[in-house]
Parts: sequence; C-alpha cells; structure tokens
Amino acid sequence: MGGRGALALLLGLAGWVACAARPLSVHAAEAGVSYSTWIVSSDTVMLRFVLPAAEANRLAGSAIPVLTVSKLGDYLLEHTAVTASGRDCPAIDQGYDLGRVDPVRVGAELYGFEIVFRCSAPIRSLVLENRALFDRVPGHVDFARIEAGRRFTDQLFTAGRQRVRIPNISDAPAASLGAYVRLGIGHVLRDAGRLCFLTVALLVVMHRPRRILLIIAGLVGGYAVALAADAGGLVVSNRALIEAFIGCLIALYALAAIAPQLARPVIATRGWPLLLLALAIVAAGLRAAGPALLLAGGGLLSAGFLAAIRRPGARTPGAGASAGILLALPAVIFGFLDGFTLQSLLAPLELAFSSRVRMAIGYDLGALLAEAGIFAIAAGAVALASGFMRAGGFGRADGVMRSSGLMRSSDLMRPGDLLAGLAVQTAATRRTLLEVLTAAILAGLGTFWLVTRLHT
Amino acid sequence: MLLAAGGAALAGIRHAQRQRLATQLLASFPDAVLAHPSLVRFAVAEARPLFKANCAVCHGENMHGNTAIGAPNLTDQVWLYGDGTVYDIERTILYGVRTGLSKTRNVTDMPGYGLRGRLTSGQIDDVVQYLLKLNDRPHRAEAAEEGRALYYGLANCGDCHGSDARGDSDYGSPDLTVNVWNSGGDPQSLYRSIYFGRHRIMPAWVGKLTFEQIRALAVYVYSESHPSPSRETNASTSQTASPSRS
Amino acid sequence: MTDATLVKQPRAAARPGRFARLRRRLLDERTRLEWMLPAGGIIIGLAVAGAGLFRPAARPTIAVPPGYVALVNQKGILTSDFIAQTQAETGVGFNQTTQAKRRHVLREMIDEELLVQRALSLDLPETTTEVRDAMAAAVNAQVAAPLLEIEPTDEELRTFYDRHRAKYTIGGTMTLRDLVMHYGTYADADQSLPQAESDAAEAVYQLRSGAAIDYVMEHFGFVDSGRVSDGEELDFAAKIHLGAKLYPVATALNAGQISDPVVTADGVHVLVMLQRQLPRPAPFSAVRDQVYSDFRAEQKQRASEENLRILRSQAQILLAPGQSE
Repeated sequence: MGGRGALALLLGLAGWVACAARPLSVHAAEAGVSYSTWIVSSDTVMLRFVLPAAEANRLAGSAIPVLTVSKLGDYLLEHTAVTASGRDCPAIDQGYDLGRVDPVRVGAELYGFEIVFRCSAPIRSLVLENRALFDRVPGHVDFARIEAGRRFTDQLFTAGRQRVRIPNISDAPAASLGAYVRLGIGHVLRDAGRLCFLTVALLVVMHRPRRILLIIAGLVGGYAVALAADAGGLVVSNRALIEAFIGCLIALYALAAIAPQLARPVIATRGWPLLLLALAIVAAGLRAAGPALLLAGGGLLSAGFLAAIRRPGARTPGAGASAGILLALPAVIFGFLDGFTLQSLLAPLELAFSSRVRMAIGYDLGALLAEAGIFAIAAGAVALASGFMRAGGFGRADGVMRSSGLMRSSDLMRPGDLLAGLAVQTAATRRTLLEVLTAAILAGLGTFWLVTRLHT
Repeated sequence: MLLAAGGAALAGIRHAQRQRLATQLLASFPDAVLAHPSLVRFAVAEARPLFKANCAVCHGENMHGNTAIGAPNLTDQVWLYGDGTVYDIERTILYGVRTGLSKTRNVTDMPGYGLRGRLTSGQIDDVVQYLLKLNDRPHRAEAAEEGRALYYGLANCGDCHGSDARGDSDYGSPDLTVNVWNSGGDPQSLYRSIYFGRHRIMPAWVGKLTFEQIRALAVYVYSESHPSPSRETNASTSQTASPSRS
Repeated sequence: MTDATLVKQPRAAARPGRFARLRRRLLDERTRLEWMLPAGGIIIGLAVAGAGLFRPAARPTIAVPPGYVALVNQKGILTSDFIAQTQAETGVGFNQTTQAKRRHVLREMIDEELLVQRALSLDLPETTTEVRDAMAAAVNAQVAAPLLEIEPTDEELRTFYDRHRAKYTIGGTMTLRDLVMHYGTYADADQSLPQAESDAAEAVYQLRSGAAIDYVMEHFGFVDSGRVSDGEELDFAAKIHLGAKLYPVATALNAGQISDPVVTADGVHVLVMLQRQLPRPAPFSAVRDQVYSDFRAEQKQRASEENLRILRSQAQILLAPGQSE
C-alpha cells in the first residue's frame, strides 16, 4: 500500500467514524434536566416549573400528542402534587383566564409554569411530589429549590426519588452531597464525549502507567481551577462551544498518540493546527465570533502542544520528564471545561456561586471518581492483558504498513503478526495497530464533534 | 520611566476624582447639586461640549434660542415648562416635549385659530394688538380692545394662558406679558402663531445620553440662566429653588 | 535542554550562578525554538479559546446606583421620576412634601414596578389585548410626533378637502315608515314566506296607487317595525336603526316613494319615504376644523404605515402553507 493509499485509508476511516457517529450524537449528551421552585407560605405552595424546550420535546408524540403550552401545563399539573399533613393540596384556579396552570415567560428556549397549591393552614408535614418526565426519561433530573420565608434549600427529584418529605417547614432538608456525587458519576458514564476523552488519554499514557496519575492530577487541577473561576464570576458563553472544544481535545490527544508513529509527523503536528486555523477563518467570515475564537485558540494550542511534546527521535509523545508533564495539559483543560457543567445546567436558575458551591463540589467529585475509576479499571485490564500476553508468548511485532511510507517501518507489526499486534504491544515505545486504529477513530470522532457542535 | 509612571499616576488620580464627582452629581437630588460649587463646576465642564454637540444646533451655542424653529432662549429665566429648577430642566431633557413618550411634556397645544376657522384674519389681528398692549408695545387701542374681548370670549385664550395672561408653566402655556416669544414677537410672527398654532417638539434624550450627562446638562443650563452669585444661597435654602420670573 | 547542558562540569570550575544559567538557557536559540514558541502557542491559544468560551458573569448590583431612588429586581426607579410622581400626587413642590408622603409614593412606585415585571413574566404583551393595544399606540405616537410639529398651511388643508370632498357633507335626513309583515312565527303560523311576499307586492301596488298607509297595514297584516318611528332621522341614525339591508333601500327613495318588498329574517318589509333631505357638500369654511383633524389623522396614519414598512423590511415573517396576507 502506498503512502497516499494509507492516508486515504485513515481519512476514510475518520469519515466513516463521523458518519457512523452522526446518528448517535451530534449534540453533546444533553442532560435531561428541569427546574422547580417550591415557595411555601402560610397556606399555599407555589410551584414554578421551568422546562427546557429540548426536554419538553421529548414528551411530544408520546405523553403529549401535539406539544402546546396548554397541553404541557396540563401534563405538569397531572404530574406534580403537594400534600400537607396527609391531605392533598388542590391546585387552585388563578383567576381571569389563567386556569390552574399559569404559563410564565422565563427565557429563551424555556417553558415556565406556575401552579398554586392551596393547603389548610398552618402547613405541617409537607410532601412535594414531582413525577414529570421520569417515566419518559429515566435519567431526568429536576433541580429543585424549596423556599420558606427567606430560607431556601436545594433538592433533587430523580426517577428514584420523586417525593420530598419536609416534616418541618422551617427546616426543609437539602439534598445530600452523595446525591450530587451520584449525578457527577452518571454525567461521566453516560456521556460519550467524556468516555472518548478518557479512552484517548489512556491511550496516550498506557505505555507509562505512572502517567495515569499525572492525568488524574491534571483533571483534579482542572476541576479545582474551574471552581475558583466559577467563584470568580466566569460563566460559559455557550454550552455547545464547550462540548465542541472537548471534541478538539479528544482529537488533540489522539494526534499526540499517532504523530510519533508517522513517517512524516508534520502531517499531524502542523496539518491539524492549520486545519483549525483555516476553519477559524471560515468561521470569522461567517461572523461567528465565538466559534472563530475557539478554532483559532484550538489551532494555536494544538500547534504548541504537539510541538512541545515531540522530542526528536522519540516514538511516544512526552518522552522526557518536562514533556511528560505537558501531556497532562489537555487533561487540565478538560477538567476545567467539565467543571462548568453543573454551572451550565443550573444557568436558568441564576443561582449565585455561594448557593451552589456544595452542589458543584459534589458534582465534580462524582465526575472525578468516575474518571479515576475508569482509569483504574483500564490500568488493571492492561496489566492483566500484558501478563497474559507474556505468558502466552506473543512477541513484539513490527509495523504492518512499513511499506506504505506513512508509518515508520519499524513501528508497527508485520502483516503476519496482525492478530498479535491487535492485542497488546508490550514494548514501551511502540504502538500496536489496535492503538493506532483506536487513536485514528477517536481523532475522527473528536473532529466530527468539534465541527458539528460548532455548526449546531 | 519615572515620567511615564508619574503621568500614569496623575491620570489615575484624575480619573478617580472624576468618578467621585460624577457619582456625587447623580447621587444628589437635582437641585441640591447647586449647593456644591465643585459639583457645579464639574457639571458645567462636562456639559459644555455635550451642549455644543447636541443642543446648540437648535438653541444656539450661546443658548439664545432660535425663533425660526421655536427653540427657546435658555438664558432669560422664562420657562415654558416648570420653574427653571435643575429638576425641571432635567425632566425636559430626559423626556423632551411632545415626543410621544407618556412622560414627555405634552399637556397643551396652541391651536391654529385661523387654520381651523375659529377666528377670522381680522379677529386674529385684534388679538395680536391686545398682546402688544399687554407688553406695553405700540398698538392700535381700538383693535386691542376688540382683541381683549376675543381673548376672554370667543377665543377663550384665558383657558390656558390664564385670566391674567401670565400663562401656566405646569401646562406649558407661555406667559404673554413678559415679551418673551419663542416663535418670534413681531406682529407678523404673533399673527402666524395664532393663525397656524404651534406644536413644537424637543427630542427626548433618555437613552441617547447617560443620566450623568443629562444631569450635567441640566445644571449647565441652570447655571447659564442664573449667573447671579445668589444662586448658591437659593439652593441651600430650598431643594427645588424657584428662580424669580422676569 | 540540550545534551551539552547535561555534561557534568568539573566541580572546581567556576559555575555561573542559577540566574545566569536560567538566563543563558532562556536565550539559547534552541531552547527558544523547542519550548518558548510552543509554550507561547499554548498560552495564546488558551487565551483566545477562553475568550470564545467564557464571559464574565453579570454581577447583580447590590447598591442603588446614583440617580436612582430604588432598585427593584435590578430595575431602577429614577430619582427624576420619583420627584415627578410625588409632585403629581401631592400637587405641591417636592421640597414641600413630607417624608411620610414620599415613602408612600415610593412604595407605590415599587409596587407598580413589581406589577410591571410580573406582567412581563406573565408575557402579557403576548396574551392581553389591552397591553398590546397600549404598546402599539405608544409606538405609533412616537413615530408620529416629529410629523405633527409642522403645522399645515391653508393650501394643504384645501387640497386635502378637495381630495376628500365626498366626506365633508352636511348630513341628510329622512322621515319614513318601515312596515313589516311577519311570517312563520307562532302568531303567524299560517303565513308562509311566498304568501307574505305575494301580499307585500300587492300592498306596494296599492300604496303606490294612493291607498292610505293605515288601511294597507290593517288589510294586509303589516305592523310598524318601530325602528324609525320617532320622526325625522339623520342619515347616520337611520343607518344604525334600519341595518345594512334596509338602509341602502331607504337612501334610494325620494319623498313619497315606496320601496319594493324586502325580505329579512324578521319578515317582509316595505319602506314608505315620507320626507327626504339629501346630504349636500359642506363648504370648506364650515368644516375646516374637521378637515384639520382628518389631515392630522392621516399624517399619523402615514407615519405609522411608513414605520411598519421599515419594520416589515427588517422582519422575518413566515406564513404557514395556505396563508396569505
């Protein structure tokens, strides 16, 4: 296979990945969230329910045949309830032509409703019930805020917890830290972008397992800086841009893994940044300032990162202690960006950082635990597999594409050793075909996400 | 280096000083500003270029107005709306006159008596003679007497301008006895005012200038119309000091 | 770091200080190329991407800004508006008002602001006709304001009058009888529509032949509808009383004429015009006040239309299939 043929193969592979991935997720895995505020007064509980349009659309065609504000309001009325001292609190008619559900304007792409439940005064032993969307979207989360007088607490409604009991109104319980930790764990495990990033990070450092700790340290640092920046008043301009940049980081790590294996590494180390800069110019031409800045920044970052980790003669990225530390940089950036997830999710509530610091810490802790767990499992699996290979007598293999001119002839396995090469390469400085293919797929996927999420 | 550092420090101090004065200017009630000469000086310095850029085109750089377009003289202490306090001036600058905004100055309109056929040309001429008489200007006595009858009778001018013809600045009806005429005081101009009516507008500056700029302009106009040293005494005794009408 | 720097130097040799070594290293061209350029790329790249990804949060104002008397959910109440409202409510200068009155006015203004914010939250401009009408009228008033500054001339009014001469008339009057023959009701169950029409045609014939109205009414079973039975009516009043179907028939009659039978929902009508004064053109001098008002109204209408033309040119208006404007 000639060099052009191999290049065409890789490009084709990346294209196929992009096409195959499209139906899976052009958008980032959108968290199914809603927001409810329960304001308790002497004899009423006013519920203000805010539902993102994307989430409401999930009800269309099933729970609600044709989505209208009125039908959505009726659905919420049927799926929320309040009882006090064991007696139902009926939703009251709010007069004029409002009916029992009052649609309110709460912002773009959001539906807002108010329902007033009348209880017999004084309200004691309150039970708030929210069953909306859980039957349609099991992963749905409702971030609730319970206000009584000037006191407020945060709560969560999930599929497994659709009722909140408040024995004493003046001391409404808040959701436990563990609840937010679980949310953080679920966020990482359910999101294809996060899993891909962790996979590609593992790929980069798998030949030097100690560097996994470096990556984890990078993630911890990133989350910590994100918390500090959040406290300092930094907010995400556009959630889609964050997800696009995570696609860029995936591709960047993948290219860092592939580049040393290439006969001409400049294809990756200069080609990718140039591609991003070209896209930035296109975005600027389309007057899309945010995407243009993101692409230009991504291009410069990629150029700097790929140049810094590449040492002459080295076949894995980050050869040398200083360059090795640099490998943690994308992890730091990833941790920083992911650290703003909860802030973005809670944006419609416009809570101050001080009101959600406990939630943010729990959420980030959960995300970190999930990431560390994935690394631990993967590292264990690699160690087991390596031992198995050594015991089974699988030898080192050379490059399958040495004749192509694209890959170094000594880097990859011989065609005859394809099976062995697809398993695990024990030599620390060389990669197996499986690794290269995985990296190529992830590079394609990352690029796909970068472009599509910027476009959408 | 030292020079640059010194220059930067000086600029910083001046900026901080300016910010302090700007805050004080707005934080005070409009007419309370007059009790602080430093604030008045600051406001005048801020407003002078603003006036030149935005207001002088109608009112003239010397604030003497322009009768051709009905822009009043701002230095004569005769006010169509309000009593000429900083608050009143600021209010007019904020929301303008007959701009269509509900907070604008728009209570009365001078109807076109001739245009609408309510008075004949001869009758209008008689009313003009009466106005000349009210201002001790040369007039035809007989016609002025006819005009007086029309003023209180058919034309019912007193409904807006008052039985003493001194107008009412709450409604924007001008004093007809002080010989100050926004659209010209010669008999021909007076005739035109009665025949065609007047419906002058002044733009609202809210949203176009900042509140600080509008306050500064109000103080500037006030200070130009009250050059007497007694200004500060007035301000200190009354929050909404009313200037004496000429 | 180059290989040369890794070579151990004899301990005895005079080693440059740490600062000097760092300086030399930083200035070393190779170091610059290997580290400083990539580091610069990374830092600038992060900064540029960060500018696209993040923005500073809008911090809520926790102090009332100068120039305002209160801040309600971050929305200010201007000092000037507060003074104006206090003066309007008390009828005296602001400095003459009591602290209690000022507090009262401020409370009212805060309440009003809360209600306005609530109205926006309830999206009243979308759902409430009165709010929409007020908003539309306010916009129209603003766009018309500059036009109204210039008083029209006599010539302009005269031209306008000539252009709309048919509109300026001294109203006509009519005195008529509206006879009606009901059919098909409980009281007239035996009377069918064809029979009623036939009887009415005969009655018209007799009336035109000079028969007395009362005789015809009694003979054929007509009754007076009562719509125009109170004597002379101005045309516009007759139009209201007779309705859209009978009024045109009435205006076509001269004094003494009798209409053909007219079938309406309540029976078969016959109109007898007793007296008729046709509308006549009003001279300009008699209607110039109305001409002036109409001229101004047309100016406002034109300003509104021009404004809408501009708004439409900037708007994206999509019509559902099958819909047209």
